[in-house]
Amino acid sequence: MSLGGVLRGLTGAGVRFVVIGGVAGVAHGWSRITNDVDICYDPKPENRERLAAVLAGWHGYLRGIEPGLPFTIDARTLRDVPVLTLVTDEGDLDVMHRVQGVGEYAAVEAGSETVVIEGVPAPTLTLDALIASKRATGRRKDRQDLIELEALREERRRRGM
Amino acid sequence: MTLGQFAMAVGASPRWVLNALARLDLPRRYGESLARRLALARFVSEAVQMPLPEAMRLAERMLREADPLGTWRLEGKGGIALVVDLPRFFTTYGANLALALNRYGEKPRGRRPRRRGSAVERARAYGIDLTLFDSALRRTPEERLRLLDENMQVMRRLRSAAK
Repeated sequence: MSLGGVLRGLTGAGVRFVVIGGVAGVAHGWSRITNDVDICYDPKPENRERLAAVLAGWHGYLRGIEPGLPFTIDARTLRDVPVLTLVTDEGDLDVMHRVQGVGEYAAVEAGSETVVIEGVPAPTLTLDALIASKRATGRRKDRQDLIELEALREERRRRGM
Repeated sequence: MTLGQFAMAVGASPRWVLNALARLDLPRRYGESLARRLALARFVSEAVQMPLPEAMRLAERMLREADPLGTWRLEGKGGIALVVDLPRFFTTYGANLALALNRYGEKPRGRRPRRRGSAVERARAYGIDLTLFDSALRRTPEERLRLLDENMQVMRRLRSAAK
């Protein structure tokens, strides 16, 4: 039950994905406590199959929903539902195949860099792409995040990072 | 739920929801039970081009009578039948509802405030503690993520203990 466990499970199963959201921000120096791991996955059929198998193995269920609602986690669900917010044996996990402000998976992958997380090399959204996504989402609660991330980017540039 | 969350759970726009509630003569009470009925009515209405009030009656009947783990079948005239895969419906509806409850956020109205000064100055003026940057940027990405992971474990244990 760890961040490394999630990433090892996904990469071990051959799932193509990019780490996005708060975890990606922390990798770049954002002081943020987040409880969930957000990933953007390649929606090609074979990748959807692999991801669905991993999520089913982790007993993925809808986060915040009373147990008992029929829920099938398979490749068709991933195809039909653009974003899944799940609770799994490995922790809370949000999976999606596009990122607002960045685009579909290919654009997300292009806007990523590899970060080693607990020994697992994982493609992670760059700070610029993360800022673009926060700007596009435009929710009230993203406003502070955006101010913080832009300041972080400036500070990183000042330090030559 | 807010109107925005309710609409997300139904899988429709807020405007569609308001129009539908007016058409069905239902009060604007955005609860889960109504979201479920309306989501199913919308599916049926769009799939077979059925008027919404009729689809709503059918949806209510389906949710009352059907086995949620099976299919619901309505025989029509001339060998035509309507078959609804309820587990598939509940999966899509549940995913939309979870999304509405976990990730929905209202968008601020009006113009965006004008950006003045550098990003660091704006953050300071907003009240963000910039000393946290310093400690975070002194660590490697792997160290930052290890620390995050430890925090996640603590949060998880606290949540489990509180249950």
